[in-house]
Amino acid sequence: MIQKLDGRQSSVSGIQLTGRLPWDAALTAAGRKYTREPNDENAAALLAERRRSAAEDVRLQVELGFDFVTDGGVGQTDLFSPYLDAVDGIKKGGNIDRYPGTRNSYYHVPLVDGKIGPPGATVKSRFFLGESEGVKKKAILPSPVAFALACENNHYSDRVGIARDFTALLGEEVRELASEGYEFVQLTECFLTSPRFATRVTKELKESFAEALDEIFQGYKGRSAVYFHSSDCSELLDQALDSAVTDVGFDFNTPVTALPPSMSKSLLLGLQNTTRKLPADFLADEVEILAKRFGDLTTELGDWVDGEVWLCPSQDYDGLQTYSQGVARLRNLGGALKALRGMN
Amino acid sequence: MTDPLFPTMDIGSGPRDPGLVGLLTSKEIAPDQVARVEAFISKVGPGLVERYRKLAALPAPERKGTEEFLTELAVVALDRMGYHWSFDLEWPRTEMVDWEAADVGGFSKSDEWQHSYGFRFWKPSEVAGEISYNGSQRHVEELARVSKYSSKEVRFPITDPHCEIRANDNLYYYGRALGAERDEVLASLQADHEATMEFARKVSLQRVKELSNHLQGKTVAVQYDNFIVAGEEKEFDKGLLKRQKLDAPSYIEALREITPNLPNVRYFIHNCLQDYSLYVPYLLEVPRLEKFCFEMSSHDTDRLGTTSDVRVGPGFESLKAFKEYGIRKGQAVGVGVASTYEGATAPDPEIVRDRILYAVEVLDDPWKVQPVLDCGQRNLSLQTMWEIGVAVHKGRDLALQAIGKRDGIDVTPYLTGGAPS
Repeated sequence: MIQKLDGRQSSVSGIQLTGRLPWDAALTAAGRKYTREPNDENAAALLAERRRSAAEDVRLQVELGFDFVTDGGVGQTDLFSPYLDAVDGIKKGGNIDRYPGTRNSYYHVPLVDGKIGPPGATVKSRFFLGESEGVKKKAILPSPVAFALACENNHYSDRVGIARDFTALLGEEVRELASEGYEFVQLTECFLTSPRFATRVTKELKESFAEALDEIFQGYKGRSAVYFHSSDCSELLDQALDSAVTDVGFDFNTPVTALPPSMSKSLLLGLQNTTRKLPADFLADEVEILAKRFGDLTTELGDWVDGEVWLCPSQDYDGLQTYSQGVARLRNLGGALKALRGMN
Repeated sequence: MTDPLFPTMDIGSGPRDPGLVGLLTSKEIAPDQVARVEAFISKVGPGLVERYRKLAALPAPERKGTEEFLTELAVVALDRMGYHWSFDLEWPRTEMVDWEAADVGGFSKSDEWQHSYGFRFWKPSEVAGEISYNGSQRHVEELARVSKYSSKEVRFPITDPHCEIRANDNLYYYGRALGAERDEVLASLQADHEATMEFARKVSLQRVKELSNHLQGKTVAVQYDNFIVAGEEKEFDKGLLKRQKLDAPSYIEALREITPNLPNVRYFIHNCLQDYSLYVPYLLEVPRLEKFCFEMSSHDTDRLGTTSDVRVGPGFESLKAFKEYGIRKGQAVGVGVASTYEGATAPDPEIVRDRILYAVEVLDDPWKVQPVLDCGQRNLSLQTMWEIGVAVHKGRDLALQAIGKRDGIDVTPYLTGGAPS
């Protein structure tokens, strides 16, 4: 689908989420209440709010023209939370840490204190698209290397071993998701090229990345992506492009010129910077800015990309945006899609 | 200023037990909350139990002198546990950045929750206009309250300007920068730098000057707290610094601004959330900064030992940078010897000892090591705070004895002496 925008050639395949949406007031209230009093009644209320909120998030994405929809990530409080105390060998650590490149967004550090086992019930029940019909379902999981780098290791002799066993766990999750009709699974990697984690990255860990992607998606018939954010992932692109995933994505920290002269995979471009809130004046202009930015970049790409090119938020809205701003910016993404498709 | 060998310091806000901080609200204090707080006060200051009981029993509008009571209790508790500095455990405050909406022009409080971590949410302030200072007396009043009850040097916590800007939503300056700079990353950095320096000059600097005018001959250790800076990778990127025409990251530039040479004012900093190595080289060059207090234990092992394969984690890794870049005479590293995260329990005293001894080994000088807590204890119970205090001081005394034996120093004058058990 090729369109003209102010003389620039642009081709947009669609828009899709690359991370979580923020929680609305009712879901936040249920979460806060559950924290204060973690009893069965409040757990049931939180579960009900998660279902309601997921349905709202799906409705919004459909309204805005998303082809693949997620549940907004309502079943998890960060990338790793579903695994904590739900998988053999992985406990909720005492610490929190900050996502690289974000202003004020944190995660509970996973504590690995034994051999990592298969996904438990909590992991399997964290997605809330079960009742959504007539939509193409997308799920977002952590990359095994991101997990291996972020955790506290009290068991394995090195982090390659952690990544290997977490890879097996993710493979099982992907098969489970396939059986539930998920047509798109994305792995998120935001630690491997972060300067903060440089001392934990070994040559072996880096080299294990593509192999892990192949193993996780072995036999999976749907679309699969690895998505990088928060730092320049140029050095990892070759591995990602050589792997079995169908889509590769990155945010504005990686220049598109880092891509090889030709590539057959589809591309997720995280051009909407969601790492901080936008002032009101710029919120109003964001549709035009996004459409222009996408047009400029795809013109720069020219014929390099044979696959589809998607416009995406750079990462989660959750933790970085309040609900009202998150929704406003999601609508701007939808507006940019319309503009690029010449529908305005 | 010469401190004793291994002076200990509680680093941040105390447990937010509803039986204590509830005194400042309109809420009633439940009997079980009263009992819990009484048990704590009985250990740290039995003479205050009766006053607490009376305050807790009063209907909220009739409670008078609550801030005074909380301050006195904090000072007494820290003293009883053996800490070298006094402060009010931030009990009369609600959170680090809460005052700003009232005291700083340009700041306004958001009415929407934003996710922090787990099921924790908060309402950030927004920088919605040009920063100015309304001349609040809160700091001066807090200093006076603590000084009234403390015979020790007061450590005064002030949220660092860099943290104030980045923990909140800097919309005004970001909007201005976006209008002039197309590159959002650069605009973001420029906006935060400009707002940080404005906050430093117009607010933080004024606050520290106000404090210095009310010391009445005493010395105060101003501690600038920042829980954001360790993750700000882009601020320390040399290429981006060059594009901004900055010699040093804005965190460092602001520190230079807010540490003026004032009589009887010392300067400490506290950072948490892990890897400090990116900015240690800059930090050591800031004049008048005496102590750098960091979270170190949270990612450490609980095994005994004084070698780098046992004392691990980004905090202890960063310690090596101080040695590499050369810590100056009169400077010391505050080594977090006890984790204070939600769910933390008191470390064994022997672990505390080994963390101190490892730091001495790395820095090659016991006078450059100061045992501190990793961070504030707001998510812990009063009982855990007590147990951590006991363990830290036992461990600190064990380390003193080991150093005394090794170096042939008489450490008796420095022992906590009478540390509770």
